Amino acid sequence: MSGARLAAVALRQVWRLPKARPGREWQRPLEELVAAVALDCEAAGAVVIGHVKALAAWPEGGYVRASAVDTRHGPSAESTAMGVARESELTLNVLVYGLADEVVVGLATSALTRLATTVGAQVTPCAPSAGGHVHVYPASDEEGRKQR
Amino acid sequence: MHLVLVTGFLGSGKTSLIIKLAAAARAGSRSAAIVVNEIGEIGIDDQVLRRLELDVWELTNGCICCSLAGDLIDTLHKLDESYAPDLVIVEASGAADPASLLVALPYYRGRALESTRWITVLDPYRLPMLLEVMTPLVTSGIKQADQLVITRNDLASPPEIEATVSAARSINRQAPIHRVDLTGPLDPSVTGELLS
Repeated sequence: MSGARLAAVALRQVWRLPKARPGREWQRPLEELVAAVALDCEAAGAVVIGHVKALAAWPEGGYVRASAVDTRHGPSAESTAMGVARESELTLNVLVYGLADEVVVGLATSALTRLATTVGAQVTPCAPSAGGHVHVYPASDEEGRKQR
Repeated sequence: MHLVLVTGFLGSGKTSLIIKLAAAARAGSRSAAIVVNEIGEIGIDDQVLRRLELDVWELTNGCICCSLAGDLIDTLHKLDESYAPDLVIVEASGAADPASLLVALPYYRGRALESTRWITVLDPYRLPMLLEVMTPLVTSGIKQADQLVITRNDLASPPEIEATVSAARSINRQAPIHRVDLTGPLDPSVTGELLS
């Protein structure tokens, strides 16, 4: 692999649901979200899926975290005890090699929109965050040094 | 103060392992601080660790392995002066070779480090692929490790686990290899070896 840049994209949104739901009901949608983003990135030409992870966090302290590292194995998820909540803060981080940040932002935003539609969430987006630190692999090549 | 550096490629299970190690330290009445360096400006790992009421120090605006080695040393000084934990666990970003940290450590001037341990976390789902396409990065992490931890022992297939053990052993003949399932508590003998 030569000169595949690491795209690092983070999206944060506040979701407000039509009615309060138990936090644990978020595990499967979040797993589907990270799996869909990994698949979409691969279809768009990502060289390596680094890590696609999502976190839904509730004010009282509970959370669900989902993770996908490739498209051959299923996503994983974990959660802590949580109650019932109507509003949640959702963070999606996508770290993939071989795609431009703006492409990844588009794919991640689309996947979030699909999930929001599915669960009927009213979404308040925060500004997307991308890049800020460039890794080019292999890191020892001259191009990588210049970009860093 | 004991220093444990946890490295491994993106998504290999570093944060999940650190949660287990911190829990084991807490159960053993050892104070632990966790230094996190997550790529991306909105971290998830630090949010999770804080929600578990762990003591988290975040390095931002760069990668610990490329430009933040100095910030890590500053953070170690602050930890030593203000908190003096028994144990500091450093989570490297996973996207670059953390060898530069070892070069920076001699600049730490606080309480003497009683031990410095390098743990490399290996993902059996992807190690053979990563060794092909990201050879220097992945090889370096394995080569320099004092302890190797293979995650997803409960999920990966026996051939995936065997291929990971074989690949790791071909690069590092010395380091003990631990196979762990991070969905439950770690075997005390494993945490003992990782944190001793």
